[in-house]
Amino acid sequence: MTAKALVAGCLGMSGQAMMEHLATLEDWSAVGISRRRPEGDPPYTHLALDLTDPAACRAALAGHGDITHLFYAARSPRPDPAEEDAVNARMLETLLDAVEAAAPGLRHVCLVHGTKWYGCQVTGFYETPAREDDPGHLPPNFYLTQQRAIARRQTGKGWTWSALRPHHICGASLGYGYNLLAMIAVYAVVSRELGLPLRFPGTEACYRSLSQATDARILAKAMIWAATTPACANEAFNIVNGDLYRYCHLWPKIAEFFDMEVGPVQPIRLARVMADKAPLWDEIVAKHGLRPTPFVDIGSWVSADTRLAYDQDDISALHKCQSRGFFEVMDSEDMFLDIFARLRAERIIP
Amino acid sequence: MPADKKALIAGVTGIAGRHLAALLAGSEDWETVGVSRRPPPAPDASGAHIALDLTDATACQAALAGQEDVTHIFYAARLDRPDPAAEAAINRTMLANLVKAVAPRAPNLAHIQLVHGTKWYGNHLGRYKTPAKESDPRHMPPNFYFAQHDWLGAYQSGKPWRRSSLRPHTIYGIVTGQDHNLILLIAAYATICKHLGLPLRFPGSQGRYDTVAQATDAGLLAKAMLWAATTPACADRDFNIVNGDPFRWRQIWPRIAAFFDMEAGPVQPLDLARFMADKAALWDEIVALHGLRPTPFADLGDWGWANGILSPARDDVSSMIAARRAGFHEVEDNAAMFLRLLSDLRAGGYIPAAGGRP
Repeated sequence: MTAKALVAGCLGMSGQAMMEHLATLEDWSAVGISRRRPEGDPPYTHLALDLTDPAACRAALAGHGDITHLFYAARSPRPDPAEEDAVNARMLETLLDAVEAAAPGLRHVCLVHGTKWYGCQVTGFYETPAREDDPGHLPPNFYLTQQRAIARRQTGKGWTWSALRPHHICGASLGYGYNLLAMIAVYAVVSRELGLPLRFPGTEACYRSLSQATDARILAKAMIWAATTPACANEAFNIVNGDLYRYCHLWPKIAEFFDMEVGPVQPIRLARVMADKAPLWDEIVAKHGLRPTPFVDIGSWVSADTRLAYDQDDISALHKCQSRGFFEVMDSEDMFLDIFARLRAERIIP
Repeated sequence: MPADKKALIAGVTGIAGRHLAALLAGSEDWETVGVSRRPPPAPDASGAHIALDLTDATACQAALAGQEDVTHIFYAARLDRPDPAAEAAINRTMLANLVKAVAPRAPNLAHIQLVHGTKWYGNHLGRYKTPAKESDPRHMPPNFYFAQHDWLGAYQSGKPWRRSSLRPHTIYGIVTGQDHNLILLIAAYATICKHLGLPLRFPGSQGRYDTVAQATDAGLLAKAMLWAATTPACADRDFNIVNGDPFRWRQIWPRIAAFFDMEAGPVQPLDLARFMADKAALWDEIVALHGLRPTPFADLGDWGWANGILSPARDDVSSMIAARRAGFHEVEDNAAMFLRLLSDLRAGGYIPAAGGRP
């Protein structure tokens, strides 16, 4: 079988990992779509495309009639959920219109969604372990709209769909605002530079509750699995690392990695206290000869605050994907240290 | 073709041993011999049986003299003692008596497996670190698991066979006459509540009802035992074995109530050991009324032990990463397991058939 993947949102955390994973697979070729152009020359065909522009999408995809699989990891976050719902629904519809028109051999469309389906990060609580058939939260939620739309659209078609629900996607790539690990690493480096211990900046309850994460490499494997396994057709799946962790156990290991003392929990709003740290970061970059990463590219500190102040357990049930054969797993504590090591190896942190 | 592997299962009447024997009985590759103090309840088609008190070294040497063809020892026997040091000593002695009676005479012995549990992490002591990983530091000894693990590790030195240990958490399966058997106790509790016209109240604590719990299906454990004993990547390693996902009792309890066609009541902490102490006559009445298989009330299990499972307000979580990475790919849905076992109990006549109270 030869397959050609179209990855929408190829510069995001999951998209980047997917492009890297596809490059390792024989029989797969890949095209990536994003609004921005990647830095340098990527080892795949890249289309810079605004997914709200139907004419541009049709024109760009006209030359890619051999696409067999669409992996949709694009999103346009908006503060207003109804507006977010509308624009993201339109983006998916626009791209699908263009892909269906261009690619008669389309076999599968895989949507990358997440635990926001259940209300995680959107509401103050959701029941855990979250199962795929749990009722979603009160709409609007663009995942719900997209999944309903694709289920409707697929009826009678020669392709199938799947939707994956990772939680807290982790990787070593920067630039999309949601890389919590990069933010934790920079917070640690800044704390160390100031002679401070590594204090957990979130809440005591978050420090002690159960957390989970999805390594972007696990997610990439799950995307291929869901897109090529007949039992996954037209179904949604939670995808997480396969274990749970607590920051109270992980934090001392992070401190050890950065050769720091562990401090007590001290809830602070990172968005406020990191706001003035750009000059200090630039100093650290210069002092250690790091790859110059603009402070603003490290990530959205507001998103870090939200995540580290969530006082409830985050747990997704994995029975559905595991009973269909997906057993890629990773120890989450090892994942944190591995990603910090990669950030260090790429000279993003000292 | 004769079986090329022979399993000796110590503790074969227990919940783990019984399910492994049943699994191996379906395989042409395996011959089995079970060891326990009491014989298994008839009819039992799962292999030969040797009635043996493992605390008696001389009896072990005599009774196991003919077991030269054993290739795998599955050790799931245990003796509870109130004093942990005494418990460690007697359980280590039992293991040593058995192993020393078999291993030196069995040239093809390939593996010795210990069925342990999350007591390794101090689950019986109160709060412990969760998710528990196999490499977590031990709690303050004594713990008979430590004593057995250390003894076996030392005894193994220089020998060609490998070992493993498994750490399930609350094993669920259908056996009678065993103290640690939550599904039968829950089914009997529900049957009695229904008979008395009560709603099905959760008799543990509100904290337990809401925190994260986990379970190990006995059938899944049997598959894990076989897997760990025969997979080279598992040699000399320890593995947590649970169903996969955790659960919360608040998610399961209403479904158990629905199974019994009962209203799910609120949490009402109850000392089951005290409040079930006078229910033997009532149970016998229910058995007679519904024409049930006559299970003596005392054989339902240890109500105090059930209290110990249903009361602690803390999360129970084991990391399954080690087993998954080593290739164990069995999973069990918790709610489906509860409902399947309850259906099996009903089909087996342990509890009344579906329908209202008489």
